[in-house]
This record gives sequence, C-alpha cells and structure tokens, in this order.
Amino acid sequence: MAYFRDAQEADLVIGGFLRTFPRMDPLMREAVGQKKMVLKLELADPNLLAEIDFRQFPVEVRFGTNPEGTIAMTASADHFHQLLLGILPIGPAVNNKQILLRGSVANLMAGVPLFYLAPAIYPFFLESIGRKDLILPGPRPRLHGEIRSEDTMTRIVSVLAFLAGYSLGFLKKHLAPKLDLVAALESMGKGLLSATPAGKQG
Amino acid sequence: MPILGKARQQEWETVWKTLSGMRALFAGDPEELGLNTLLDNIQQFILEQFRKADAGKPAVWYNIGYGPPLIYALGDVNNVPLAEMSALCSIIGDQADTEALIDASEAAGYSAECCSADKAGIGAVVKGLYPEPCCIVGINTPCDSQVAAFQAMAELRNRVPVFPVDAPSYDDERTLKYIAGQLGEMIPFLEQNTGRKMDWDRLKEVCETINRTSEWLWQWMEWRSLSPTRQPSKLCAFTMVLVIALLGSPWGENIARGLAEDARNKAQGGVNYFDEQVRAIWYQDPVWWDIQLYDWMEAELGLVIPMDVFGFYASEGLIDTKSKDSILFGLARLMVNCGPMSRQFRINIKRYIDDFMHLHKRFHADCGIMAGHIACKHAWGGIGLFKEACKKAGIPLLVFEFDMFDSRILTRKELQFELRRFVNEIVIPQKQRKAGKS
Repeated sequence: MAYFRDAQEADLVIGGFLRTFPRMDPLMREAVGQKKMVLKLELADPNLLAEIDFRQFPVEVRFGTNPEGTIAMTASADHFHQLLLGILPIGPAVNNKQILLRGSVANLMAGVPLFYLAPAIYPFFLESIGRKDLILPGPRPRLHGEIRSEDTMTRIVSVLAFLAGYSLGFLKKHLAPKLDLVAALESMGKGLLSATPAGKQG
Repeated sequence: MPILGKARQQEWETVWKTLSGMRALFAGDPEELGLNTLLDNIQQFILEQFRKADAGKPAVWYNIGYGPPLIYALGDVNNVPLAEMSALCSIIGDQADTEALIDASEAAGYSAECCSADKAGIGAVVKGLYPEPCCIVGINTPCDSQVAAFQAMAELRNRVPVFPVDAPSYDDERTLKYIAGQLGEMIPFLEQNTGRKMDWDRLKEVCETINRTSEWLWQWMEWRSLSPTRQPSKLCAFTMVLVIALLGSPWGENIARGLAEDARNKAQGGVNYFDEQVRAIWYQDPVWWDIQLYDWMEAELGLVIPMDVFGFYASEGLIDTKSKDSILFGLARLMVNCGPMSRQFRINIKRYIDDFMHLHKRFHADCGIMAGHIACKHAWGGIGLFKEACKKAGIPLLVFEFDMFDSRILTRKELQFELRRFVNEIVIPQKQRKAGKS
C-alpha cells in the first residue's frame, strides 16, 4: 500500500480534505447531530495529528495539536484514506481493529455519519487537487445497514436529497466536469444556515 | 430521537439514537454475528419495555443479583432492573449521562460508597427515567451495595410494596431450599401487586428457555477458551447484562446463541486481526466507561481477555421443570450459584479464588488482572489471600483500583500505562523465560 510518501504528502491530501470542512459547515455540523465535541485524528505511517472542533461555528480544523479531544480515532494514514474513499467501511474497520476509537459511544456514533458522507466528496476533492491517482479502483462495499427513520418527512427529504445529489453528479459528469463540488456543498450549507433561525444555529 | 413515535427523556433518546446508529454501522459487517445479535436483541428488549410502559402495564423494579424469570412468567409485566440505565448509558449511550446519574444519586443523599451501577440506577430513579413500579423485589447478593440499593428504591417509592429475598452466606442444599422457599412466597406477592396470575406452564417455558440459554452460554465459553480467541474481548462481559435483564426471554436466548455461534465461526475459520501475545483472566468488573479500550488492548498489546467474572456462567446443571418445587429450587440455584458475582461473593473468598484458578486453567491464561472496582468491597476484602494464591501458583497478577462506570476514578491513560507495563515488563518476559527464549 503506502499511498503517501511522507507526512507532508499526507498533510496535503488528507489534511487538505479536512481543511475543506469549515467551508461545508453547517452540513458537517448536521452530520454530527449538533454535538459539541472535538474529534481527534491520530494517523500514523506517515504521521498526521488533527482535530476537528465542532464546538464552534464554523467548525475549526487544527493540526499538530496535543489535546485528547472529546473522541478520538487512531489509524494508519492508508486505512484512513481507504475509509474516506469508502473502500474500507467504518464498521468492519472498527471490528477488525484497523481503526481504534476512544471516548463516549454516543459521541463516537455522532461522528460516524461523517464517514458515510466523506466517500461522496473525497474523490472529487482528490480530483480537484490533481491526485486522481489516489482514487482507488474496486467495488465500494455497503457502508452501513439500513437506517430506519420513524419520521416521514425525513424519508421524503432523503429521497429529494438523493435526487439533488444525483443531478449534481450528472451535471459534473456530462455537462460541467470542472464543477467545484465543495463550493456547491458550501452553498447548500449557506442555504441551510439562512433558513435556520439565528438562535438555533450551531 | 423519538422512541415509538414519542419524545422521551434525553438519556433515553441518546441511548436509542446511539443504539440505532450502532446497529446501522455494524450491520455493514455481517461477520460480526455476536455483536449484531447483541445490539439487535437489546434494542428489542428496550422497545418492549416502552411498549409495555406506554400501554400502562405494571412494572416491577429489582436490584442486581435478582433475575427476571418470575417476572417474565407473569406475562405482560415490565421488568426493570435498577442498574439498567447505568449499563445502557455507558455501553450504548453517553458516558457523561452515567456520570450525571451517579452525581444525581450522591446529590440526593445516597452513599458515595455504593457501587456506581447502583448509584447511577438510583440517579435514574431520582430523574424519573423508569416506569413507576407496582412493587419492588430484590436480594441481598452479590454485595453490600445491593442492600443499600434495595433500601434506596424502597425509600424513593415508600408507598410501593417491597419483597426482599435473604440469601445466606452458606453453600449447601439447605440454603438453596431456603431461597427457593422465599421465591415461592414471592409469587403471591407478585400476583397481588401486578394483578397477574402466575401461569406455571409459562414459568416452565421460561425455565426451558433458560436451560437452552445456559447450554448456549456453556458452548460459548468452550469456544472462547480456545487460543487464539478471535471473538472480541469487549463481548466477554455481556453475560452479566443477559442474566440481569434478559434471562428467560427469547432475547436472552438469541444473544447467547448469537455469541456462541459467532465464537464458533471465528474459532473454526476466523481471521486473526491482531497477534495474540498474552491471555488474561479479567477478574473483576469490565471497563464499561470506554469499551473501546478492549480493542486497544488487543491491537496494541496483543492482550486478550478470553473470560472475566461478568462473562463466567458457572455450570450447576439445568433447571428441572418436573414440579413447582424443582423449578423454584433450580431458579434459586441459578440466582445465587450461576449468576456472575453472586456466585463468587456470596460465600467465603475460597470460591472466588477457586473460580479464578479454574478459569485460568480452562482458558489457558498467562496472567490475571484484578480490575478492582472501588465499591467491590467483597473482592478487596480478600485481596491478600487472592494475591497469595496467585503467587503460590506462579500466576502474574495486576491489581489496580478503578470504577467500572465512572471514568473519573482512574483515567484511560493511567489504565493504559498499568496494562502496558504489566504486559510488556512482567508477563511477556515471564512467558519468554518459561519458553526458554531469554
């Protein structure tokens, strides 16, 4: 394996992806269910220490810091790269100890949807920084089992969101290959924010 | 997240959301039959509790040590173990909620020296997290804290009838008959307060379910005794949850079968995801405030826990369902001689030490880890004799103080330091010396 030559390359690729998170706020915040927490990432071979701070608005991403974080995830940079691509689903990765977790289960589970979301965005990010070579071929396994929602509106909106995502993907593939997806998600986030009463933001 | 379409207290909603998230997450890994069956059946149990509570069915509260079989046999009665929220918040919820419940109990004046499982349970009562009881039952085993917890429940609901079972500190047939006699006296008490008639045919079915569950658990232990033990160490302690909340129910049987089949599949054709270096009998309470610690132990230290006190389900035979007397005798024996902790702590320290030696041999362990839950005074009271026995047998033993539900007593870092030092500086060198490698 060894997708990254050194820490600098891991920082440019994985770190670069993490740096887009504030732009995608409040989508990122929605993904973690408004939890006030700090997700610490401890990657090895090559090393990368990062923390995503969901306690403030917009989320802040810091690198090379030492604090423990509210929850933490330890993995090799290669496994984390596979996780972001969706090649390594997070459930088996935890069970097989390729990823070690730390912290309250409720907070960890709140952070998990980030890794359902990431495989839809990370490949486009890699493409945008000229690292299409890191988009690994192969089947994308199922990331999770069925998530049942008792709420009818959630089910309807999920279908609509799927259609919106499909349209975006179709546009990028057939009409606008240079479409900046992070910018699109940023706009979606801004829309979400504008529709949310000020007191309920973050 | 609502449960059965209704908003619930924050602690319950957190548990429900986390549990639903875990189920969705791990369903992506069908190889994890044990974990998935466990989560699925715990979820079914909780749902049933809410269904019954919403329908206004009677609820019976009980403490650790008392099992639910008689309550299951009454039919549509809610069984509510006092420590339910302690376990749920820590294992599949937010640890901060467990600690808040512990603090709520202490703030309400209940003793800080009680077990945190009971303190968090009392906190849950103080916060109104359980359906109101029609009666309270309990038993004075496995520890002093149970007596205090029973008293606390009785005080907090002082108009609710209570029925305490007295389990003496002896290990003979007369003792079991005495306890069985009390269970017999408890039946009219339960009938009167729940308004349900005891159906002896249903109780027989419950006992047959228990017998099948027991056989699955014994098989499960056999598969886990094989080296390498590929089923995760973190699943080891769940016998305790099963015995307290689910014994006699189809969910309990499903969990036992799922764990046994999972352990068998992994033993027969599983993959080694880490290099097993050291096998330890974890001889006290599990680290439930951060269950991911077990993954770290396996991945970083190669330290495996094939069995612990909470997981050990002693083999004392099946319940004979031929007569009412034999059923009650079987239930009494199960309650005090098979249930984790009740078995080891009810009588003198000899059984505690003998069981450890048995597990050490049967599970091919290299060492023991006495994770000294601070409220387990029964275990701490015998620590000198336990250490002496291990020394005599040449078994390395790590002893430390911590609290199974309260992360503020010993931190994860401190615990990791202890475990790393013990494994790398004591157990592995001893193993190497024995193998003649050094």
